[in-house]
This record gives sequence, C-alpha cells and structure tokens, in this order.
Amino acid sequence: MSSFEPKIVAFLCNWCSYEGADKAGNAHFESPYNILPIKVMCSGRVEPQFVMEALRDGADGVLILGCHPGDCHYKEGNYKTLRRQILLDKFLEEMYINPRRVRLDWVSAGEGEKYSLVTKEFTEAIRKLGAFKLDELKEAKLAAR
Amino acid sequence: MGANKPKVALYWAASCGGCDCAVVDIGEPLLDVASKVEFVLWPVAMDFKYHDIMDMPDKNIDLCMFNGAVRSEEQEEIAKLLRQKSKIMVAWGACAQLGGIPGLSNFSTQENTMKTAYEDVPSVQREDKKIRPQLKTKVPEGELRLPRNFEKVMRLDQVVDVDYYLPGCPPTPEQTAKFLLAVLAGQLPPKGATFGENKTLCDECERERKQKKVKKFQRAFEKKSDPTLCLLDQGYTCMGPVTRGGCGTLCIKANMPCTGCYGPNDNTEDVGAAYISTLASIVDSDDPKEAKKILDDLTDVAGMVYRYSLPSTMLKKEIKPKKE
Amino acid sequence: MAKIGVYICKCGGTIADATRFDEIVKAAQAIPDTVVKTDDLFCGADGQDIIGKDIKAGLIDRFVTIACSPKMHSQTFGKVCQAGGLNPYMLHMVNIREQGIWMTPDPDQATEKIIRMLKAGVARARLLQPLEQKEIEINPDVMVVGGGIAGVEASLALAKAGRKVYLVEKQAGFGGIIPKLEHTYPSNECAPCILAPRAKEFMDCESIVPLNACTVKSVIGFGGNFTITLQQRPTFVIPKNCISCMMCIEDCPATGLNAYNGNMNTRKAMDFYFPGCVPKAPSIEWDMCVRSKGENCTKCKDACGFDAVDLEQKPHEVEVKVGTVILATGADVYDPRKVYPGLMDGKTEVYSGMDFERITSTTGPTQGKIVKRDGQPPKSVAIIHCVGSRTEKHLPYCSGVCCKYALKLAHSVKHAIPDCEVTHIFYDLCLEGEKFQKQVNELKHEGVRFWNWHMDENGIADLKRNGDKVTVSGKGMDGLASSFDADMVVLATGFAPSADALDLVKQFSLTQHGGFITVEHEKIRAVCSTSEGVYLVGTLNGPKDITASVTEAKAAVGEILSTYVAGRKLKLEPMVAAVDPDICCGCKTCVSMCPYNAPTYDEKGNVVVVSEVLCKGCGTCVAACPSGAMTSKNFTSEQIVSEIKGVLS
Repeated sequence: MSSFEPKIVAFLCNWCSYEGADKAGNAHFESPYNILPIKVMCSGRVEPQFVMEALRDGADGVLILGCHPGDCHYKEGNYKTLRRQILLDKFLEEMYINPRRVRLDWVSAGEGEKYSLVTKEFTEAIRKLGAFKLDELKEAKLAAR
Repeated sequence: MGANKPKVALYWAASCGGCDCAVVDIGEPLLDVASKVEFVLWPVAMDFKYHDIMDMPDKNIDLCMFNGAVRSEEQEEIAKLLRQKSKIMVAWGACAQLGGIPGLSNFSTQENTMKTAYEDVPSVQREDKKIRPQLKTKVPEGELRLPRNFEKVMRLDQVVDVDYYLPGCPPTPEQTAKFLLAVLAGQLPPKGATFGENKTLCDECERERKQKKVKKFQRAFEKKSDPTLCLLDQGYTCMGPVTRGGCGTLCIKANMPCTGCYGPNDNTEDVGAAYISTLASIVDSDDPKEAKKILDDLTDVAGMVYRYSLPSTMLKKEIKPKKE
Repeated sequence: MAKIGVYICKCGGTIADATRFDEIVKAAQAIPDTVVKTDDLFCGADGQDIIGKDIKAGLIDRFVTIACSPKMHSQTFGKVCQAGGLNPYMLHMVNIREQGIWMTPDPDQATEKIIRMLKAGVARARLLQPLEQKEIEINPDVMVVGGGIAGVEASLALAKAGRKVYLVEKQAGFGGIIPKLEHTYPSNECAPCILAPRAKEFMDCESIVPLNACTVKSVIGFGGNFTITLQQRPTFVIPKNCISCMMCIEDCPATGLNAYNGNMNTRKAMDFYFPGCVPKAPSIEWDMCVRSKGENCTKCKDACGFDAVDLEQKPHEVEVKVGTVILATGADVYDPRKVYPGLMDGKTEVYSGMDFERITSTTGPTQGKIVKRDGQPPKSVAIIHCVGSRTEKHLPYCSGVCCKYALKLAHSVKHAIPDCEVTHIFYDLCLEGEKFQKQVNELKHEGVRFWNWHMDENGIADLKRNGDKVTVSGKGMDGLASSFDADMVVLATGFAPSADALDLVKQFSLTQHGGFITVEHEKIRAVCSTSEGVYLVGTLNGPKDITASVTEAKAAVGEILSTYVAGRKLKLEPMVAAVDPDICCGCKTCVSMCPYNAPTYDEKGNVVVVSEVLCKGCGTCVAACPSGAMTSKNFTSEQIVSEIKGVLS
C-alpha cells in the first residue's frame, strides 16, 4: 500500500520566503515535492478565501511563509497575515477542519535551510493528519458536546 | 377574474413565515398588486392543493416566489414541481437564496438534530427517550408517510434552476413590492441576478466612519454605542461591509449591528472568508498575544458569519440541481 | 486568435536530465490554446530569438517560461517582450529549477511537481492583463528641514550636484548641536571649527536658500511633487544689512535667562542666538522683548545705523515646491530634571551633560573656564553615566553617545584642572573602537577613577546636596554601599525624541516608534521613510553621533540623486491596488490598513481612491476589503485562484 502523498499549497512572499526558497534550491537543500508554491508580493495579500479555495480544490495543507515580524518589505503586511491566521484557525476548527492543516511561518531571504526544514516538517505533519476531508472533525466534535 | 392576469404562486419550504409576513406588510399597495394578479398557490393564506398545481400545464404559472430552504423530500418535490410549472422561479428571501437560518442545521447532523429535539431539550419528559418521528406509520385507513429530512439543508438553486434572487430576512416590504411591480411591468434584470443593490451596506449607512482600528470587540448588550458613529469602528461586529445593501439599514438605525441577512454582494464568493479577513485585519495590535486576546472575544465566528448562509459556504461539496 | 506561449527550457540539459522531460512537454501540449516550444537555453540569444519571432508573428500575445527563477532572468525576458512590442506584464515565469529540480532530486517527483506548476502558470498567464507603467514629472529641488550638521552637509552635497536646496531651520541661527560643543569625541577636534567653514559655504552658495526661524506648517503632494507651506517667524532683523556692530544689543532694555546656556547666564531680548551664529546677525527673542507686553520700545531700531532692524515684521507663510525632502531636525538631549527633580535648582552643583558642555565652551557662560557657580574651579568632579537611560521610567534604551562624551568631558576637566579628582560612575561602558579604549587608558593613567556600580530602574547613583558639595551614593557591583562627595556632578543623559518629530509625522504621513520616526528598512533603506521622497537623517530616526548623522545625510543625498534624477521622469509601479467605485461602499477598511497612506477617502462620493504614486503593491488592503471592490493589478484574486486550481488539478 503506497503511502499517502499530501498536496500542500504554499504561498511565498516575493521579498523574503520566495527568495529563501530560491536560496534553498541554489544550495540544493531538499524540499518535498508535495509543496506547490504560489508567489505573492506580500504575505499580507493572502486572504482566508485563498486558504479555503486550496482546501476545497484538493489541498491537504496550506503553508503561508512571510517575512519575519518587523522585517516586512511593506512594513506591516505580515502583521495582518498573523492576525488573520489567528481568526482563521478558530474559524476552521468551528467548520470541523483541523486548523493544523494551515500553517503560517516566517522565512527570510537568507534562510534557505529554514525553508527546507519547514517544508519537510509540515509535509510530514500533514502526512500524519492524512488526506483532507470536509467535516473531518465533525463526528468527534459533536460526540464531545 | 380577468382572463389574462399573470398567475402567481407563493410557496414556503423550510421557512419561518417572515417572508410571507413581509408581503402582507406591503400594506395598501398590496391591494393594488393583488388586483393585477391571480394567486394560484399561497399555503399560508389561501386554500389551494398540490393537485391544482400538478394538473396545470407546464410553464402555466408566470411567477413563482419560493421562500424557505429545502431540507425535506416534500420541499424538494414541490420545488421541482413549481419549477416545471413556472416561467419564472424566484428564490425569495435568505433561506431560499442562501440557506438561511435553517441552514445552521448543517453544523450538526440529522441524527444529532433529532436527538436534540426529541431527547435533550428539557421539555421532553419521557422514560423512553429514543422516540423519533417515523417515516411510515400504518393506521386503519392505510399508510401515513412523513417526508424524509435530508442530511443537509439546501438552497433553492441546489435543487432547481433559479431565475432571480430576492435577498433579505425577510426582503423588506418595499423591496418585495418593487420586485413584484418590476415583474408585472416586464422590467426584468438578466437571468440569475440578485434583485437590489450590489454595493454593500456602508454605502447606505448614514453613520460616520472614522477609522477601523479595533482594540476590543463587543456585543450590542455589553456597551452603549454612539448612535452617530460606525458600529464596526466601535468594535461591534456589524456585518454591513460584507452585506449587500438595499434594506435601508433598518437594523443599524435601531442600534443593532447588521447580521448580514441580505447576503454577500456579487463580488464576494464567500461572505465568511471576506468578513474574517476584514475583522482580523482591523484589530489594532501587532503583538500576536494581544491580537489573540482581542480576537478571543469573538465566539462562534463561523456561526456569526454564516448565520444566513451556511449552505453557501465554500467549504462544502458543491451540490448542483440534477438535470432531469 | 493569439495563444499562450509555453517555453520549456532544458537549461543546458540540467532540467532535461533531472526529469521525464517528454511528459512535461506532453502535459503542456494538452492544454488548449498553447504554443509549446523547447530549447536548450531560452535565456541565450537563440532561445530569445524563438520567443521574439513568435511575438512578432502574432502567434502569441502572452507567454510563460518554464525555467529558472524570475529572480534570475526576469529582466532578460522582460527585454524580449519589449523588443517584440509585447507589454512586459504579459509574461509569467514558472520557477522549476531553483524551486523544482534543485530541491527535488527524484525525477518522478520533480516531474509531477513541475507539471502541476506548469498548469498553474499557464492558467495564470491566461488571465494576465497588460499594465501601463506610468511616469510622472519630478521636481528636482530639495527641502532640507533642520539646519544642524546633517542638514548642512546634505544641503552642500546636493548643491554640489547642481540641485536647488531650501534649508529650513526652526531657530534664528543655524548649527544645531555642534555650536554648543567645544570639542568632539574621540579626537577632541574643535567643534565650531567643523561647522564654521561649512556655514560660510552654504550662506554663500547660490543654490541654497537658507530659511531660518521657519517651521513646516503643512504638506500636500507626494514623492516628486511636494508643495510645502512654511511658517516664518519674525526675527525683526534683516541679516544682509547687519554689520554686527551690536549697538542694538547694548541699547536693548530687556534681559532674561539664556536658555541656550542652560539658564546659566543672561541675554538681552535682542541678542545673538549664540556667538558666531549664522546668519551673522542678532534676533529678538519675542517672549523677552518688552514689545510683546505692549510697550512701544524702539531702542534697537533707533540704535541701528544700517536699517537692519525691522520691527514691522509679521509671521507669514512661505510656500515652496520641491520634489524631495530630507528631515534632519534632530532630537533633544534628555532633561535630567526628570531624573533628579530637586537638584537642578540653579544652586546645587549638579549639571546636565549639555550644560557642562556649555561651561567648557569658549562661547559659553564662563568663556570656557571650568568653574563652579561661585567662580572657583572644582577640586572633584563626578560624572554619572546612564542618567535616565535604559529604564522604562525614562528612556528605555541606550543612546550610544553618552559614555563617549563623558570621556570627552573628563578629558576637558583634567586638561584644564590637572589636579581635579574625576570619577566616572558607570554600570556598562559603551565604547567601541580603538580610539575610545585609548582614551580610557589615558584617563586612567591620569588618575581618573572608573567605578562600576550597580544599576536599577532608577539609575546608578543617588545624589544629595551636602552643603556646597554633592554626595554621590550607590551600590558597587560587589553589593556593598559606596558613597563620596564631589564639588560638581555631571549627568550624562541620552537622546530623547523631540516633539517636533511628532508634527512631522503628521505632516508627512510617517510612522514613529517611541517618538523616533521609523525608517523603511533598518538595513538596506535606513534613511528612507515610509513615505516616498521623504528621507530621515540624524537623531530624528534614532540616537546616534555626528559621524553617523553626517553619513546618513550623504546617504540620503545619494538616494535622492539616484532615484529622483533631474530631467528624468519617475516610473511608477504599475502592480498597484485599485478600487472599483461601482462596488466600493466607503467602509474605509483599506484606509486603516495602509502604512503608505495610498488609499484616500473621497467624502463626496463615499468611495476610496488609491494613489498610484503612493501604492507599493503589497495587496494587504485588497485582502482586507470586505466587498470585493479592491483589486491588486497582476495579483488579482482570479489570477491567484487560477494558480491554486492549477497546482491542484
């Protein structure tokens, strides 16, 4: 029986994490092929609708990588992403989706190794969670009520 | 009765009756409308039978106003019947358009809903708590059947092809009258359109908007609001910015934050996604701990944003009407 | 009908070798409306030619490169577009090298990932729209706000490059902090000697317009085109007529405490701002002048034989149009009265660092003689470090200059009074570099004591008046109490943000943190503010010394000369946010999002408009917009969603 290969959509910001990913590639640090990158100018562009779109179109996990807080090329974009993530986590759980399927992290332009580590870690975490199914937490949550 | 009066059917499915009340609330102009049409079905107000509809030729009804969500076999059956027999099918009100309040049932399961209603509510006083409504019951006269409830509550356009949507919970009497008169005059928007404004509610709201930086969210009962200022600016979760306009800001004028009953505008795919983005973005803190504390005041976020539209969330398997 | 070009690069064989290349090509060919071609090296001349021919033939109206990172060759392919007459925004680059084969060694896995990215890239390319890169005229003139050393150096550098500069200074005289100093650390150079020749230069320079006694009143416009209204305060003197005979000063009847010298001496209402100030003329300190109390005194005017006194001067506005602004208004030296409130009474021998500087200065209240208030030289001087610094109670940071000037003052004392016992009371010493270490060693050799005491949130030392001396007490690092008396105590305080900065923040739509104006990026855009065309130099953006301030001034000049090139138009970023006024409801969420103040609310239309000049294209406001009225050019929701669907298909 073949092991489950998750599909993970990763949003990378042009100035930090996209460069960090390139840096990882330049240094030939491995990153799982399950990670499907989409470039945005700033992690602040990533809205909950994109995360939800990814999940409903077949993603098992969503990774958002931005600049470290305080370093955003556009000053404050990543702070908004951070706040949206807090509320999105709550919302996803209420919609019976495991919020651990969506992760926000910070990778700077020089952090090729971190890109490799974060993508590997997240891919394994999603592999353990298994394929995403809508209402995956519903039964358990209703039983617990 | 005039021979060529347009035939109008009004039907209520999983509904509270509010849309029908809104029709009556039109008041005197309703008499004018009523004189121009022939009602062929209006369960809440008039005594017509399903057979009257079944016996009609197809496309005999000029306008069918269908309110309420579809959650039972009967509602689905009648929706399909009315679609077959009607030229214009209108999803009338939030329930038919988006799923409405009954749609919140989709947070639960059919079994859980039944369990709550027949076992868990304090007013149930039975030893044998496992009682459930039976789909079939034999009686001396024959067999009685109850329509089966579906696992999920659906919008009207998930079971039949819909021509127009009239938003609101309920659509205001003014908007309903306007729509009926537009149909009677043959002034119809393009097929599939939602009748009313496309700009969201802030466009109509007379309150002053200063800046959107919220340090604390609160509910209407927790603190007295300033009636001249934007409610969202003040930290009340007013859904005006994500809600289609046209209602005249009735609730906001009564100091109640908008709960989003007109649903999103044409440019918003998912009202929940849009509103959580806005709410989180306007939190006035860059410190994750402080931001979490501020956002922790929001309980039941999914319930709040999807109060009228859970069956319309992006996070579901898409159900399209089966082509006959 | 024009199609989408899909150019799959073999990258000299590396991509072909690391994947099942044919499968990738087949996958591309299976997508409708595509023209799929491969080459060994699309970035090479031959490869570029292939693309160029397809564009010229009208075969494609947009294309995708399936190759290396856009960081590598976006310029190369951008040029290919331009050469073919194709809008450069009709190009999308899919990175399957750095983010493909180079991080995915297994060819099967790499192939699968690449095919997904290819589908996403083509889906996005399908939705690309040509974007116009607009240009605006820029005004080459510059305004420098703040006539301290940083502002002066910036003005001179700009004038040298042929720019016209408006140098605006709040006080009646230019110079800032430098004229207050006698020496500068670490080399003990004469401070006024640094400024004096520069001051003459800028006063003589034709392209520098000196505007003293002026502050910024209001600002409209944006980077490249500012209209700034200045408020000009009357000095009541016309400098070009004045020959500095000082007859007006002699005859002036009003005397008051001289704040420039820490109220340690007096000045007349009509007096020089400081001896040797530029412009070389006295001015009236209005609050001291009897005319401000209603008296019709004209003694100064009567005394002047050169028509240099004009008592009719009124405050008025001056409007100036410039393209860029350098803000160099400095910071305040923290007032130690806030730390030792009872002691700074003008009688106790406790002095702020700056006041002690004035005492050591030849232009100061004692003409440079280091003496106590009774006129006698001190037998002992204690210098307390970190006064009001590094504590939440006052300034929660180290200013990095106070330990250094403390050494300088110790040196001045020992030089003037070799037998004087000088003691430094410190917790840490912030002294990097060889020169400072040398100074410490020399001072120690001369008998200067360096005592390392314990510091808490109140500071390092307690001070108490003891007759005509001051008792300095505290806890040593060993925990034992320590105390001694000193004839004079000097309090080394750091830089506090000045209130002027907050006005500038409002006027220029900037941001501040703890009172200091924030720069755009602390490493690579350390003199740029968050408003395009506005630069921040000197202590305005954080505590620093003269060297760093002047360096920043030159850096800002460099930024201006390279970005706002005279005669060249400024290209605007086309990937900006835009609002559809037919959808916008005027909720103003976006206005609260933007650190660049790009969205502005139009009250009349109840809609928001995004300035194409100010918008940097981050898209944060677009994500926050509740009604779908906002769009991010080239990063529309439709485009991003098409990529999401593409990678998952």
